[in-house]
Amino acid sequence: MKINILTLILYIFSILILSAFALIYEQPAFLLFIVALIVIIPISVFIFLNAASNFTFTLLPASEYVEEPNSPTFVLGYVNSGKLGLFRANVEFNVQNAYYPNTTVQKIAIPLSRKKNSFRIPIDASQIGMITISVKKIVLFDYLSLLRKEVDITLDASCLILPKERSIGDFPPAVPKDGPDEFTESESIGNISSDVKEIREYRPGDRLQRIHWKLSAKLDDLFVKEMAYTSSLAIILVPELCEREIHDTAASLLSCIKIMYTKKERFELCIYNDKACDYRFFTVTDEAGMLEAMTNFYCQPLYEGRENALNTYLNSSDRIATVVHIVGKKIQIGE
Amino acid sequence: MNFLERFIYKKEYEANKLLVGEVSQDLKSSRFLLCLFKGILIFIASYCSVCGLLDSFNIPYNKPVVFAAFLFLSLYVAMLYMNKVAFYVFYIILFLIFTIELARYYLPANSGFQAAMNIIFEEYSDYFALSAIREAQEIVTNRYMTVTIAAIFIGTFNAILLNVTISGYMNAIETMIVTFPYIEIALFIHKVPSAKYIFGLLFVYVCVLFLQLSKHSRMQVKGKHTHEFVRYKKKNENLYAYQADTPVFIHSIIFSFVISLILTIVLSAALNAPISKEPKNAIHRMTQEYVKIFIQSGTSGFLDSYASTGGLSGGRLGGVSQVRPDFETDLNVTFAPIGYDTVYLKGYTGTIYTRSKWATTDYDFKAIEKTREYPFENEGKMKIENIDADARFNYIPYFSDIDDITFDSSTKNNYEVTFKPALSTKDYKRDIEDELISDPDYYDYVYNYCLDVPADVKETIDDTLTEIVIPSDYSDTNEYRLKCANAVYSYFYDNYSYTMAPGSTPKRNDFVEYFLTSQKRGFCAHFASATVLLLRDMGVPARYCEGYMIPIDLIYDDAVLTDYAYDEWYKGDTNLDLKSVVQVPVNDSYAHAWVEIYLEGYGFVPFEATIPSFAEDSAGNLFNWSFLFAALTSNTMDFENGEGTNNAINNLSNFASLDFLNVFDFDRTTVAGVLTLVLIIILLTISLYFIVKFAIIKIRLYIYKKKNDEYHLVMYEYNRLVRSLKRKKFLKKANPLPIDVKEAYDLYIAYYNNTHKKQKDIDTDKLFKYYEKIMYS
Repeated sequence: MKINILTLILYIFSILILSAFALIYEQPAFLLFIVALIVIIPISVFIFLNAASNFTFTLLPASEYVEEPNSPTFVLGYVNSGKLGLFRANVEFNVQNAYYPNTTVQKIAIPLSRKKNSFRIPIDASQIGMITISVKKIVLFDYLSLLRKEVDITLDASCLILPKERSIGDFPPAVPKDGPDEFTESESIGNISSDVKEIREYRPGDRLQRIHWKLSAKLDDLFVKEMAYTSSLAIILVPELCEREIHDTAASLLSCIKIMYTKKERFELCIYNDKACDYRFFTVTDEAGMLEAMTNFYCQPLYEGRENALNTYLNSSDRIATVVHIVGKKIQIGE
Repeated sequence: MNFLERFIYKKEYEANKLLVGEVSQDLKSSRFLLCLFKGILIFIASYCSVCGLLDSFNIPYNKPVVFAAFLFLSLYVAMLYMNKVAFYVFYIILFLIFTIELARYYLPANSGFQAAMNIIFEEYSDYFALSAIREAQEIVTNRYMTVTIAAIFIGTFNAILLNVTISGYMNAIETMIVTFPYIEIALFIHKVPSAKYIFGLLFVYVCVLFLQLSKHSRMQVKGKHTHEFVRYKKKNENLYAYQADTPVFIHSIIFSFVISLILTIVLSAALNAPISKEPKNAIHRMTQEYVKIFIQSGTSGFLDSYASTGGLSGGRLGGVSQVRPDFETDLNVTFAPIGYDTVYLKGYTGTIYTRSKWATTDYDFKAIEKTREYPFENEGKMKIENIDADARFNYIPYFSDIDDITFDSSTKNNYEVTFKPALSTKDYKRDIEDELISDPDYYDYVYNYCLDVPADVKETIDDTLTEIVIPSDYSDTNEYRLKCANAVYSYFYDNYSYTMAPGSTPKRNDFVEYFLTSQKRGFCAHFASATVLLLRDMGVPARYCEGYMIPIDLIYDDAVLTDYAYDEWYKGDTNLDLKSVVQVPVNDSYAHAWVEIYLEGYGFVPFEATIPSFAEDSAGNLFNWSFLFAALTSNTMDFENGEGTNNAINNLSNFASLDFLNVFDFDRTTVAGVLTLVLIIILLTISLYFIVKFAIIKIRLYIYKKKNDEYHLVMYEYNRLVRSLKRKKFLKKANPLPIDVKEAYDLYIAYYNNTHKKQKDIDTDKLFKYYEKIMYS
């Protein structure tokens, strides 16, 4: 509990001025106004002491993610368990895009006069990324703003701004050359790999690697294998967090991911951290996985280079896979 | 985010790419309730201040009508915040109606205001025991009606002001400044209004204070860009404050009501505590003095550079806007009156005229003038007791022997003097030889100094003389000089007017020149100064005098008979039946300036140059622009004659027949004039707005060009294009993306090329790529 010195000084100054007028000009009626100014102080303090501890606050994003150009919205709510409300509270928070950290303090003055209420805080963002709002302090004031109580509270909420998907043509790409791949290896052990979920007829668009050649030869028709995602992968997406092209990279990456998991393709996402020179793999099979992957993607530091992630991956990984290198709008397929 | 906000938050926008947008809350406040609460606060503040004042002084008015009018007006102005269009349209309507109605009901409104002022001044006068006060002119005498009308107009004005301080800013101090002076007028002289008014004001002040400190009391006018939260920037912080909140209002009102009610009940006894009238400190005393000046002289009394009572100021001219006598006795004069002519007691003689002063000469004319033998056969004695007159001068009657002044042993303020009073001006007609003029120095004084007209003012004096009928008979010098003086007097009488408050002479102007050419109204110092210079220009030696006068009215009205033996105080003939020695209290309203004319054989004799005052007739002129200011400055009281100018009522005795209460029967010329003026003001304001807006845009563009700020230049062009396309209905989205704008622009160009011979060939792809590149770079 602290006293607002400046407000108190101004308040006392007002009382003194009125008192001076009353004394100099011998005006008893002024007494009423002076007494009123004095009397409302203990009333205000009393209510404040009773009400200040009755508030609980929550902070939530209105949705987990938004697609640009929409902006994320956060909902700050309070519940008052007491009978008396307060007129004023200052909420101090910080909003930042993980890509562009900033320390600007945002303050929002709200009334706490109801039993409960919530305030919707939209964030105008012109860039994609993960928007995090962190409430660090809530300051409650009495009716006359003479006292203040700082509620130490940490409320965080995040929301992703995803780029708009774009058309990226025929994806996923065909493997550059026919021949043994990771599937044949697994098949050589038994007749049908445990990775194979089902066998179905060939449909145009199916990848050549998926054709069950032996069965097709036997039955004289083309059959393809529907794989269960349990073993080694076929495709690894390696997006570059190149600062200048981050928007296009994210758009391309998102488009790739969506196509991949919609088609139930098995792939992994390699997200690179330039500071730690390390990378992390994500397997995406649904929207939740996509959001997790994008969240991680949005949390990495940006850099200038265009091939940092790719080089690091190629130099350190011994996996045999089709590498899809994503920089800006360019989606390059390699081995 | 609009352009201005984008400009304010430019740094954040560029660096962080993030800003908090339009914050809103789920449980919203009702605008109607908020406006209603504010309207109620405005009403209580307005009603309790104005009606509290009226009730304190028992000024009669129609209470239900005023109550209803105040309530309606308060709610009207408060509800304007409901909608932006309503705000601008109905505010203008209110101002128009206010102006037109004020023009129509000017007379009753002004009379009501003056009636209230007169009653208040009377109360103040009684409180301070003032001998006299200003009494303003009430043209319409039905005070009950006029005060009601005036109260409604004042209430409207108050409601508009309070709408700013309460609805707009919710500021307790400003609200107090707007309302408390009304009550303080009563409280200053310890007239306590009814407790309900004090309670009302206390309630409003406490409530507004709570709301002000809550920071959730302000409310933007509802419009296209109305925000629930207001946003502003402070150094490295961005602040957002939720505006008005209904529960805050409800709680504040309940708290304030309870607190104010309890305090008013508990402290009601203290309100009426008896207070001594005598101020106990210097500040209170000084304030009271200023209040007295205001009561007696109005606001212009504060602007005077020196105190002037009845024009007596030691020869100084032009530094006062008006004379303001305090009506306290300055001299007690004991003598035996013998005629109807005014007795002059001279204190100061001015010979040399400068633009703002009558100065004395180095030549000691008194030394030779005291040797003059007067031909009058009577001889009197006069005892003068200086109580509050300027102690620098001795005030002695004409034809006195200044060597024969006997001062009281205890104080120099009391003295006796013998003199040879003239019975009337006929006494001057006797031919006697002037022995003193043979003295070359005195001759030089009379015919050089006393005929001097400064070159600066000579042209004006000459011009004025062309309008005066100068007597052609030169045979009798003294008679000629008196005729000249009378001609000047007649000229002033016909063309000039007397007033106690003519306004001060502008600093760079010559006092007499300004009076003769521009002012054409004034008090004794004006007429005496101008007459002296005009007479000098006509060849009549004259000079300027200040002192006190004792007219016969004063003797008859205020003189006290004494027990002194008449024979011991006067020997000679008399024109009066009254043969007694009287003591006359001469107050400072009888301080005076007059002219002395040199008559051969008699020396310098007094001549009354000041014309009498007449009430100004303002009847028949229902609207005059000067009326707008007259309500505050009107002061046509004739102090010297002790008559008020309420006689204008007689001239307007048939005023009731004007039927001014007929709503549709108003002076069309007046209304047309007012409407034209209002229209011109509106047009000028609109023009000014567009000129300033245009200038700001041009300056901003110039700065952008200077700084090579490509971003803002492109944004400007882009926004202009968006506005233009929206105006032409090609673009219908409220917040279009550049791609939308491009599509709309393509449509427009296609439409244009179809309808015009001259084709537009614009590569929109390239243009919008460029726009996008700049905008998102």
